[in-house]
Amino acid sequence: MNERTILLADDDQLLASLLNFRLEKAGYIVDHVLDGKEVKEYLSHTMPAIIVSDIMMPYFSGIELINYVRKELLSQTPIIIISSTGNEENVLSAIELGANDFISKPVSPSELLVRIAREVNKIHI
Amino acid sequence: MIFIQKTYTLNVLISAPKIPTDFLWALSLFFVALALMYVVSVFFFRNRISRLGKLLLAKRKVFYPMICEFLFFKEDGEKKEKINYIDLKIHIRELIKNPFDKEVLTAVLLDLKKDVTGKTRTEVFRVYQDLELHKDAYKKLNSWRWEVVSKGIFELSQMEVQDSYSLITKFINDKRSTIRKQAEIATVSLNKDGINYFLDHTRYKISEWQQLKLLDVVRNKTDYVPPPFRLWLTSKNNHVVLFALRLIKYYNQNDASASLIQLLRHKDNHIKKEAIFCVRDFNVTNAVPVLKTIFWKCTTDVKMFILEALSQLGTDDDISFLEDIVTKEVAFTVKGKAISTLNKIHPEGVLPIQDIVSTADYIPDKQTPEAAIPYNKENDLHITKQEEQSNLKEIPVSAEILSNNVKGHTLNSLDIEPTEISFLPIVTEEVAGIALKSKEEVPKDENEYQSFLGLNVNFEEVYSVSAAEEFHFEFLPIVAGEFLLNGEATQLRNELPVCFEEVIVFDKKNTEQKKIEQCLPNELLVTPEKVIIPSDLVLETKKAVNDAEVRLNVPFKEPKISFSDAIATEDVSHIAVIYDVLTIENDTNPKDNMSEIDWTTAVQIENIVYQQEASTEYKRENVMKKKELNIPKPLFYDDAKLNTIVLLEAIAQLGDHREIPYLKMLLKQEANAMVKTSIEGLIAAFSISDDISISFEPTISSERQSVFHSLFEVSDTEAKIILLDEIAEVGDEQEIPLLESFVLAEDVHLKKRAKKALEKLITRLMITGKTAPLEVPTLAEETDTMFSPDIDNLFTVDFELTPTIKKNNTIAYQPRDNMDGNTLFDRLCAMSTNLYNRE
Repeated sequence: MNERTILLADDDQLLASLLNFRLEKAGYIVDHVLDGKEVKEYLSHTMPAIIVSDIMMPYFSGIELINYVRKELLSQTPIIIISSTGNEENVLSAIELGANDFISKPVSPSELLVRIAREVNKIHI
Repeated sequence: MIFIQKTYTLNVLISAPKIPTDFLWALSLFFVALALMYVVSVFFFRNRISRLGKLLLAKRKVFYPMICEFLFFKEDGEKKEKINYIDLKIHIRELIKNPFDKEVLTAVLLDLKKDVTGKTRTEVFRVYQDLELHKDAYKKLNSWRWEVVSKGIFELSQMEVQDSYSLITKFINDKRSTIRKQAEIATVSLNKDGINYFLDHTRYKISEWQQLKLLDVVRNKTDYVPPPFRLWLTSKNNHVVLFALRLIKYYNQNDASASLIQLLRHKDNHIKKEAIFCVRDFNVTNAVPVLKTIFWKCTTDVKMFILEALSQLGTDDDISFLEDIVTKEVAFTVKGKAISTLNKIHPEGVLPIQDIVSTADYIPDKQTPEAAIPYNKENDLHITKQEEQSNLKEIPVSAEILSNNVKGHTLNSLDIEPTEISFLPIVTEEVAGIALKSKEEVPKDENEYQSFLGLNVNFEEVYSVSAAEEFHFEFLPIVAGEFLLNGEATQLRNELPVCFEEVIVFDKKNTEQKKIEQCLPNELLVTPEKVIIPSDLVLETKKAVNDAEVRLNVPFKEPKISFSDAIATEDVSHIAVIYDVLTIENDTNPKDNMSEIDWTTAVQIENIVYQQEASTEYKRENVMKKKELNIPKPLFYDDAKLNTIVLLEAIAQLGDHREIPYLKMLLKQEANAMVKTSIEGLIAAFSISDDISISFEPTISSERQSVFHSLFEVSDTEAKIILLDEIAEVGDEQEIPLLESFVLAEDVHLKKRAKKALEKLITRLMITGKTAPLEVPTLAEETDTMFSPDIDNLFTVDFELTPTIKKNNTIAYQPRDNMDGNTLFDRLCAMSTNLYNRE
């Protein structure tokens, strides 16, 4: 597991590519997946340092992803959730399930970068 | 037959039309072709749309990285990055020459604008204008197609192209509602003063949905200062007035009371309703008369709102108006609202009247009086239903507290029949800590007691908890009963070191008091300020008690108070039981009921007289003198003395022999014998401790072993050689024995090194003045030519470590300075000092 590997799970390709670009520019290695199936497949062989996931995804929602990572994979990998504004209930349940942080849409890439950096620092600590 | 003929005739009349077969075939072919065309067109358009979608997606994927590059480009980036950016810009400009690509790029930027915020969003706006996509949107505004114009306005407003404001405002009064609505939102969003312009210029209806959208745009504006919307209350467009009223309410602009009152009379019910809300929310009480005036001509809905407003603004003056509504109004809802408003203004003003049964129905029938109910002793503790009902009624019972177990006291007669209160528990009160007993415990005069009460009832005893809680017994003397008094005085002398006192209520004029006085010739009258210390008093308790009629028949309780708690005295063995009779002066007859004792006066200090019965063997004066002697008196020092004592205590804790001179000086100065004694004690203590000198004199034995010793034990020869060199450099006198042992070692190499190290060390120590000149032992090989071959004698170390200076009353050990001889500078200093000393 590379300490700078980030799994970015978002079906919004435009936003994902934007975040991907920004994170890569910041020195992270970003693996982008489009839906839940791909997430599961990816996690079956690789565990990234941080997972950044949208809540609403095809096949496998962000909530299910958290549940999968925490309860099935028994991994404490930091998970940052991207949620739409007005989706506070989902965010709450995500945090209850074990999400480490959340960021709401519209996303500020700089803010996401800060949050990721914070989680990375926590790993180091 | 006839029937058959008729049928045939009819059949002849109905005949199939003659349609040419060719025509039918042609018609069939036409419809088939039409169906085919439809199918083909469906496939065609479907494929076209999907192909377009794919193309769009492909184009988008092409544009994503480019836009990302654009968005996160930094002016202060690397040169390579700048070149890349310029190339990309050129590439995009070529791409957007294609209208489709331009559309795609615009769509991508619009999507991106929704997804990102902050600085990135600003960058999106910048890129949009930088690529001159807004110009394309301007062109759309000139289109004759409403959807294109609308799309153009939307793009410009979303991308916050401020320059487009003047172009968009033209569409505010467009007859095409879609364009108009889009223009309204764009006008309000693009400019801070857009709402003003819109409200000033719009002539069309503003739908509720549009109002909500506009409000949403306005309230999401950053640093937005709303204008005074009362300015548009005079608009000729009723929709503007309505919207202005809503904005006034939203922004709490309560400076338009007059206009609001005026609008209460507006023809439009929506405006009227909104004005009522504003009046209610801003608490415009001046509007109440207007509200009352307009009420009767309003619709039911508006009437409800008026009543709602009146419930908040109304006063008692409006009650008559509301009562009028209740009586005159036909509408059920309005009537009900009026009543609720009445109750809001005047709570409980109107009571429920619907389906309320008259009170006459509740007058109870003549019931059997309780007195007639036969009393049943067995049931008196069980509350029956009948009793529960009777409990609901007020019973004029003036039952007094019965202190039934106090012997000889008068009980008040009861004003009620026994049967009337048979269901009630008789409440007794705990007076002065005397636990009143139940009937079973009533002693001796039970018959008298029964006859006195005249109540043949069983009762339970209820202790008044509150009385016990409120009553403080601390002031009372300890009371003893007969049991104790009958005990042997001598036995009590040693076993019961408790001071017992008995409370007696008496009248000054009472003859019984005289008896007490007679039997207490040596009565001790003590004021409350004085403390009675028990001493060698032997009590003639029994006699005293017999003489003094004890009216409080107090059950004796084993005293639990220890003597040490009760009295602070040192000589317990001399103390017998003190029997103090506390006589309380009371104007009332001692035979009076206990309940009549005025405890408030009883506890007054002036009225309390302690009578102490003492033995005739001791005179009172002597007793008092002894008591006084037993009282520890406080010992106060003056400040100087106190300081000295404190100082001595500190010296005793922290001081040592060095304090002796000071202590001696103090001893000379001090006049107080006690202080002197303590000083002398301290001097003696410190002198003793000084004799125990701590000797830190180094010994050559293992007591002071070199730190290198343990290292040598685990080292090989090579390491030992290195260590020897180190010892020569940094070693101290304590390393000399170690080196000596190596000089005698078998290993020649080690022996040589040890000798060298020893020489070096000794030299160094001599220079630094740490040790006396020592005779360096020589090796056997060297001494062969010099001395006899007696190696043992040769290596007899004939030196002695310079002992540390030992003085009387001083600690001999001088700790080695860390800097001592460890640096070159120190060594030079030491050498110069030695030379100076020699000279």
